[in-house]
Amino acid sequence: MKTLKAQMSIGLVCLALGLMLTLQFRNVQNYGGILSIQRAQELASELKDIRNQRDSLQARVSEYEGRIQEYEESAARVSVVAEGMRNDLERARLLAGLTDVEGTGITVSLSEAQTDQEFNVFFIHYDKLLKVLNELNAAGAEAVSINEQRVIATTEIRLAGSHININYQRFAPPFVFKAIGDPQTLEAALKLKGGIVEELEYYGILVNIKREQELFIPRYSKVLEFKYAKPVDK
Amino acid sequence: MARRHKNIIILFAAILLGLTFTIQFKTTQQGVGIVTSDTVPQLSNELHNTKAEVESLRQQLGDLRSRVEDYERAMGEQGNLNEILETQLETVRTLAGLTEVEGPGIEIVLDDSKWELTHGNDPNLLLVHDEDILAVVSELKAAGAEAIAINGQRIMFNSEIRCGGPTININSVRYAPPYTIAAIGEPNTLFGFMSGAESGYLDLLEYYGLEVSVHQKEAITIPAYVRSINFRYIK
Repeated sequence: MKTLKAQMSIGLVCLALGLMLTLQFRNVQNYGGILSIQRAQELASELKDIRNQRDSLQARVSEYEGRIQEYEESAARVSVVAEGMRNDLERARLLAGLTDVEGTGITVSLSEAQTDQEFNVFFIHYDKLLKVLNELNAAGAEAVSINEQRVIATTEIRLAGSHININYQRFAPPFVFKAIGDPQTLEAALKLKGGIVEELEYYGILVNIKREQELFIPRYSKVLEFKYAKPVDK
Repeated sequence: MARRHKNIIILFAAILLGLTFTIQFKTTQQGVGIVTSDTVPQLSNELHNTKAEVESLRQQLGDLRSRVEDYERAMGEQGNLNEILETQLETVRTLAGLTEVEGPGIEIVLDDSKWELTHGNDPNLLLVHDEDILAVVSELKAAGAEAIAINGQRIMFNSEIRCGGPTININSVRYAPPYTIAAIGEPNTLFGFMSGAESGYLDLLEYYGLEVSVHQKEAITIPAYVRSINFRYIK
C-alpha cells in the first residue's frame, strides 16, 4: 500500500514535469524564449533613441524649409517673373513627389490570411505589390504611397532577404497602399472580374479596400538627387 | 537502501520541477502579449528604417542650409534671387522627369521568342508580358537607375505598363515588341543587377526562350515626359 502511494506520487510528479517541459519547449520554439525577449528589449530602447534623434532633426529641417518658403514668397511678391517660376517650381515638386498631398481616394491593405504563421516571403510576393501599383496607375492614381513610402519615378519594390524593400526601406506584411484619385474608378479597376483582387485572394491574401474622402500621402522622405543623369542643354 | 535511492530520485524530480516552474513563469511574465516571433524582425526593420531616415534628414539639413545661405546672399539683389529660383526649378524639373537627360547606363532589348510553337505548347510562354517589363524596370530602380524609358517613353511616378492584347500600353501609348528599355545610372551596378547573381530575372526570361540582350553604354539619352499630367483629385 505504501509503495503504491509512493509510486503514484512519483508518477504525478513526472507527469507535471513532462507537461512543464513541453510548455517551456513550445514557448521557446514559438516565441524565441528569453534571449529573443532581451534582444527585443535592446532593439526597442535603441529604436527609442534613434526616434528622438529623428524628431529633433525633423524639426530643424522644417524650420529651414519654412525659411526658404518665406524667401520664395517674398521674391514672388516683388517680381512677376519670380512668381511664375515659383508656381512652376511648386508644380514640378508635386510631380517629383516632393510635397505632401491630400485628396479623395482609396486605401488598399494586403495581409496574410493566417497571422500565426511566420512571415513567408513567398506569400505576399513583391510582384503582387508591383501589380497593384500598376493597376492603380492605370486607373489614374495621382499619388500613391505604400506603407507611407511615397511612390516616385525611381521607387523600387524588391525582395531583399526576408523583407521587401521600398525606397530602400524594409517592410514586411501587412502592406497598405494609399492612392489619391477617383475612389470609384480606383476600386473598380482593382475589383475587375479576373483582376488583381481575385488573383490576390486566390493566393490566400486578404484584401481590404476602403474609399476615403480625406487621404493624406506624405512626400518622398529622402534626398533626391541625380549623379549620372544630366539635363541636356538645348 | 532502496528507499533512500527512491527519495533521491524524488528530490531530483522536485528540483527540476521547481526550476522549470520558475523559468516558465518568468518567460511568460515578460513575454505575454509583447513578444511574439514577429517582434524581433519587425523591430529590426523599423530600426533600420529609422536609421536611414536620420541619415537622409542629415543630408537634407546640409542641403537646406546651403540653400538658405544662397538666398540670404541674394536678398536685395533681385537678379540673383531669380537665378537661384531658376536653378532650383531646373533641378526639380529634372528630378520629376520633365527634362531630357543624358548619362551612362545600360540598354536592354526584350523580344518575343523565335522558337517554333509546337503543338500543345502555350503560346503565352513565348511572348514578352507586362509583368516581365514591370519586374525588369523595378530591378533597374533597385540598382539605382535615375531615369528609365521604354521605347522612348519616359517612366514617371505614375506610369503604367500594361498588356493590351498583343501590345503593351505605357503612359497610355501602345508599343509592340521589341521593347528597348534604357536606363541611366552607374553602368556596372545596373549591369550587375541585370545579369549577375543579384537578379537572374533576365536569365529566367532567356531560359523561356525570349530574345534578351543587355549592353552597357557610355552615353544614353532619355527623353522628357511630354504628355501633360492634370491633377484633379489632389487638393
